[in-house]
Amino acid sequence: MDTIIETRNLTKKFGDFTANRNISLEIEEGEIRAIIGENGAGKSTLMNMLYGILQPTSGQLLYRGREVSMKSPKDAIELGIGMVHQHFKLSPSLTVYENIVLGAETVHSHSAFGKKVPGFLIDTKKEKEEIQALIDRFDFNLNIMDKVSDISVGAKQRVEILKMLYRDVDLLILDEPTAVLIPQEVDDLIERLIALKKSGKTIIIITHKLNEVKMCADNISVIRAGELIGTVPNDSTTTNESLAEMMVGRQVLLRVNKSDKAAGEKVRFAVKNLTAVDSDNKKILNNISFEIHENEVVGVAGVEGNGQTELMLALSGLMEVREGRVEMEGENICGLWPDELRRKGIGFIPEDRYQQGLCLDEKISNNIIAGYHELSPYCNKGIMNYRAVRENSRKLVKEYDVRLSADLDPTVGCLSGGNAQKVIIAREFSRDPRVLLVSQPTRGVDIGAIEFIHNQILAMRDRGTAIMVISSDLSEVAGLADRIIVMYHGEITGCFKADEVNFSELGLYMSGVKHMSDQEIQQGKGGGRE
Amino acid sequence: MKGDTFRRKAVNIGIKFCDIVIPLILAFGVGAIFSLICGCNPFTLYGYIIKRSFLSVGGILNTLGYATPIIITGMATSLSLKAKVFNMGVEGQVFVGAFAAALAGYMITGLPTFLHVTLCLLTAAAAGALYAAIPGVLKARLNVNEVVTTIMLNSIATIVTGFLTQSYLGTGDAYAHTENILQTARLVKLDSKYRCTTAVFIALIIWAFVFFLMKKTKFGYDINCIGKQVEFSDAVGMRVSRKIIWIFVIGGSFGGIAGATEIMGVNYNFVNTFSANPGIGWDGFFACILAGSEPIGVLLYAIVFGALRYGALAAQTGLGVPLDLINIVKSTLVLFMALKLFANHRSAFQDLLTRARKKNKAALTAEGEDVL
Amino acid sequence: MNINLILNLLKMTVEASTPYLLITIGGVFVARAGVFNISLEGCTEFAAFAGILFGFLSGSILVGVLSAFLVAIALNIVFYLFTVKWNADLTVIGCAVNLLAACIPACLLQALFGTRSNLVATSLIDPMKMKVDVPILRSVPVLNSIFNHQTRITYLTFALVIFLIILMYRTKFGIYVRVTGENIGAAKSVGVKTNRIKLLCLLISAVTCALAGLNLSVEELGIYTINMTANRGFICLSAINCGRKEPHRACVYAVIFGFARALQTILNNYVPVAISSLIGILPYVTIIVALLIVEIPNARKNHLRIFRGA
Repeated sequence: MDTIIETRNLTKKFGDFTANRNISLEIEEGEIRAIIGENGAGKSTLMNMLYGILQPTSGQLLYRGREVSMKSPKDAIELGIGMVHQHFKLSPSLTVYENIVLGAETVHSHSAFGKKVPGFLIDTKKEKEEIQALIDRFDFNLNIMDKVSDISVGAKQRVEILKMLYRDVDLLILDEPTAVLIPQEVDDLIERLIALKKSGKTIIIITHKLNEVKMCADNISVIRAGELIGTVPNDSTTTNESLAEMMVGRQVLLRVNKSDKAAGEKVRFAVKNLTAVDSDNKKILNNISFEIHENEVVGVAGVEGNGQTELMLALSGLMEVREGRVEMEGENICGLWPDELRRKGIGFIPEDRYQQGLCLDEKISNNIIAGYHELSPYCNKGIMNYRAVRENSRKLVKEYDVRLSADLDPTVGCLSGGNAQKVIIAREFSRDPRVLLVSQPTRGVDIGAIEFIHNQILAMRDRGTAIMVISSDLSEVAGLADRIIVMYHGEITGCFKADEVNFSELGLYMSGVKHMSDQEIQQGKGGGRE
Repeated sequence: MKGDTFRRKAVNIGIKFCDIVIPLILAFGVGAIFSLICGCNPFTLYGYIIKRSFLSVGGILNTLGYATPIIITGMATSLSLKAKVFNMGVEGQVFVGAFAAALAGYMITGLPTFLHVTLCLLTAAAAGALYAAIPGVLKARLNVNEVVTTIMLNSIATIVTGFLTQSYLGTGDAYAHTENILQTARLVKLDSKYRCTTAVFIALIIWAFVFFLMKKTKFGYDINCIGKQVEFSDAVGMRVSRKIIWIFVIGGSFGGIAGATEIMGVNYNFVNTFSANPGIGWDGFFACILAGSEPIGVLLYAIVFGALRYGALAAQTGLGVPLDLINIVKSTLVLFMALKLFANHRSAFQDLLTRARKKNKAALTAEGEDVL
Repeated sequence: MNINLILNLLKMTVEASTPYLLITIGGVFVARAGVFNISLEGCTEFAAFAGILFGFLSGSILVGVLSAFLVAIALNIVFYLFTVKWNADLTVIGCAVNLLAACIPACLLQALFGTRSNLVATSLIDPMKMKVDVPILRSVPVLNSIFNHQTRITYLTFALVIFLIILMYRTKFGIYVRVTGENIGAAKSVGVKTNRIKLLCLLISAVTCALAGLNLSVEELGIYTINMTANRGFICLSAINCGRKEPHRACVYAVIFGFARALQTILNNYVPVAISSLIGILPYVTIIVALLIVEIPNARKNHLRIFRGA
C-alpha cells in the first residue's frame, strides 16, 4: 500500500503556544485511521493543517510522496482532500443539491465562434441530475430538493460527505462525526465509511469516543498536548483502557462514583403537560411531564435537536410556553422571568456556555456573580459594591479550582473550556440552589475537569438538590442520573431507571422507533424512588 | 510576575496612546490638505483656532459654551452605545426638547426664576424622553432597526418643529421663530459677553450622574453586560428589552435637556436652525464614539469639539476658511479612530506581550471550531 | 379625482422611485453578503456632487459621470478596507462617511465658488433635454404618460433591477453572496473568497449609488444642492429591511416609498401653504408604518425572551 499523506515534523504555533509539535504521521491509502485525543490536544489543529485552513509554522506535508503547501481549503480539495466539520458548514436556506455543489456549480455553456465558452447562468437541471446520480451510486437516501434547514442531523452529515464525494476526493477527514448522532445512526455511518473504504477512499476520523474507533478503524493514532504519542493497530491488544491512558497520560476512571444514597420521596420540581411552539407554530415541546425529587438526578437523553434546547429555555424562563405548568414545591413558576426563577432558588447551567453562560469580555469577578448581582453584599439599593464582588470571586476561584495564569482577574475569554465551565459551576452551586437545571455540562471540557464537574453535581445531589441533566453524551447521562427520560421530536418517549438501562434499547427510543405508553412512562418515573 | 503585569500595562497604555495620537495626526493632516485647497496655511488655521478657543478667558468661556450641550448629548449617547444600541436620534430629541423648552419658556408665566427654569428643563426632558421612547419600544419589542427609525424620527422632528414655528406657534415674522422666552426662564451667562451659561453646571451634573450610573450601579453593570453579550444578559435575568427602553428614555431626556440649554441660555427662542450642521446631537454622538463611551473621554472630546466649533466659527470670519473644514477633520478622526489599528492588530506587537495571555488565547482558537 | 392627476402621480412615482430602486438593489447585495452598510447615503451624496462638480469644471457631462463612478467606487473600496479588511465597526465607519458627505461638498463649494449651498450647472446641462422620448410607447395611451419621457437612468434602472435579481438567484456569484451572509464558514470551507465577494457587492452598490446620485443631480436638475440625497440612503436601508433582504421584495418597498415621495410632491400643490411643509414627513411616516407592518407579525411569532439585538 502506498502512503497517501505524510507529515514530517509538522509544528504549529500560535504565538508562544505550540498547538502541534513535531508531528510525523503516515497514512496509508485505503485505510481508516482514527486520531484520538482529549479536547484541546491539538487534533483539530492538525486536521486544519491537512485541509489548508491553517498553515504549519514548520515541517513538511507530503501528498502521495510530493511536498505540498496548501493556502486554502480550495487547494486541498484540488489535491483530493476533503473534510467534514463537526459543526456543519451548510447554508440552511439552500436545498440539498445546492449545498452539495456549492463552490463547484455547473454553468450553462454556449458555443460561440466554434468554441465553448462558459455561460452566466447556473445549469440547475444538469446539477440535479448529477447529484441524483451521486446519491443513487452511494445509496445515501436524500431528497435533493429538500431545504437543508428541514432535514435531520444525520441527513445533514450525509450532505456534507456527499459534498466532498462530489468533488471526487480520495482522502476524507471527518471531525467528530458521531458527536451528534444516535447509536443507530452511528452504526449506519460506520457502515458507510467501511463501504467508502472498500471503494478505495482513505478516511481519517477524529474523535474521542473509543468504542466507535474500535468498531471501524484500522489504525489509531493518539495525540496528547500537541504531540503524537503513538500509533497502534486496532487489534485485540488495544483496549479502551490502554487508549484512554495514552490519551490522558495517567490512569482514568471511565465511570463516575455515585453514592448509594437513595433519591428522596418529596417531589421538589415538576413539569406538567408542557407544550411550546416555535415561530412556525410547530410544536417543539409536546406535552412534557416529569418530576424531580429531592436527592435525585434526572437525566434527559436524546439526539440533539429533539427539544432539549427548548426544554431548557422554557424551564429557565427564556421562552414562553403555550400551555402546561412548572411547579416548584407545589407553586406554579411557569412564565416567570429568569431573575425571578433565580430568586426562587433555581440554578442554571445553560447549554451554550459562551452565549448564555458567560460574558467573554467581562472579568471573572463580574461573571461569577451575574444573575445574583442584585443581592447583598454585592449590591445595596442599586449601588454595586465591587470590593465584595472581587472578594467573592477570589474565594470561589479557589474553592472551585478555576486555574488562572498570571492575571488574577482576567476576562473569561482567556480561560480554557473546562475552567470557563467551572466559573459557571461556582456561580450557580455556591448559591446552594434547591433545584438545578444543567445542560451539556461537560461539552468541550477536558477529562480532568469532567471528573471535577461530575463530582460537584453528585455532591449537590447528596445535599438534597433536585437536578436535571440534559446531555447528548449517553454515558454521561447514564453515569450521573438516577432516572433517564428520553426525548424524541419534542416528546418524552421513554423513562428508565439508570442502573437497568441498555444503550441500544435507549437508541430505539431516541430515534422514535419505540415509544412507551403514558402509563409505562409513569411507572418508569416511580422507578427512581423504589 | 509583577514585572510582567507592569510591562503589559505599559504596553496597553502605549497602544492606547498610539491609537489616539496617530488618528489625530492623520485627521489633522487631511484637514490640512483641505485647508490648502481653501487657500489657507494649515498651521495658521490650527494656530488661530487654538489661540481663539483656548488662549484667553473669553475664548475658554466660549469653548465651554459650545461644549455644554455636546457634553450632555455625548453622555446621552454613551449610555446607549455602551449597550451596543445605536441611538442616533439624539439630534431629534434635542429638537423636541428645545421646542418644548421654548414653549414652556413663554407660555408659563408668573413663576419665580428658579422654578421656571426647573420646569422648562423638566418639560424638555419629558418631551425628549417620550420622543426617544418610540424607537426604544420599537427596538425592544419589535426588533425594528434603531438606526433607521431614529434617523427617520430626526427628520420628522425637524420638519414638525419647523412647521409649528412657521405656522401656529410662530410670531409670524419673515424668519420663523417662536416668541422669546421670559426672563424668568433664562439661564444666566457667566460673563455676558461670552457664550458660557450656568448650563455648564447642568452639563457637569448630568456628566457626573451618568458616570456614577455606569460605574457604580446595578443598572450600569447590566448595561455593560448587555453591550458585551446580549444573550448572556437575558439568560442571567437582566430583562434586556426593558433595559433597552430605559436606555432610550434616559438618553432622550438628556437630549431634551441639551436642546433646552441652548434655547434657555443662548437663543431665547426656537429657530429651526439652532442646532447647526452637523447638529449638537451628532457632535455628541461622535464625541461618544471617539471616547469609546467612556465618560472622561466624552468630556474631553466634547470640550475639544466645543473648541473646534467656536474656533471654526471664528476662523470663518477671521480667515475666511469654511466652517465645514473642521467637520472634515472630525469625521476623518472618527474614521481612523474606529480602526483601532494597534489594539486590533496586536500580533504586530506580540513580542511585547506576556506569554500567558497569548497561550490562553491560542488554546482557545485551537480548540474552537471556527478557526476559519 | 382627475385622471390626469393620477397619471401624473404615477409618472412622478416612477421618477421618484428611480434613485430608491437603484440604491436599494445595490444595497441588497451588500446586506445579503452580511455587511450592514449605512453609508449608502454618503456614497450617493458624493456621486451626486462629483457628477456636477467635475462636469462643471471640465465642461463635459461625460467627465462628470465618469468621476461620479470613480468617487463612489473609491469610497466603497475605502469602506471595504476599513470594515471588512481591518474590522472597524460598520456603523461607526458608515456614520463617519455620511458626515464626510455632508461636509466635504460644502467645504469645496465654499473654497471654489464662495457659496456653501449649491452649484448650478444648468449652463452645461439642460434637464429638459435629459428626458428621453421612446417612440414605441407613444401609441400606448396610459403607459405613454407614465413611462415615456423619463430619463436614461430610469430606463437603465428597470433593466438593472431585472439583471441584478437574476444575478442574485441564478448565478454562482449570487449563491456565493447569499451563503456568505448566511453562513460564512460554509462559504469559506468550499474555497469561496468571502472578502472578495463582499468587495464585489460593495462595488455593485457603488455603481448603483453613483447612478442614483447622477440621476438626482445631473439628470433631474442640473444642480447640486447640499444634502441633496435627503435621507434616501436610509430610506432604502429600511426598504431592504422591510423586504427581508430579498431583492424583489425590497424593490417593491422602494417603489412604495417612491410613491410616498411623489404623493408628497403632488399634495404640496393642493394644500394651503401653511401646512405644505408638514407634508414633508409623509415619506418618513410611511417608512415607520411599513416597518411596523413587517415587524409586528414577526414579533408575534417569537416566543423567545432573548433580545435579538441588531
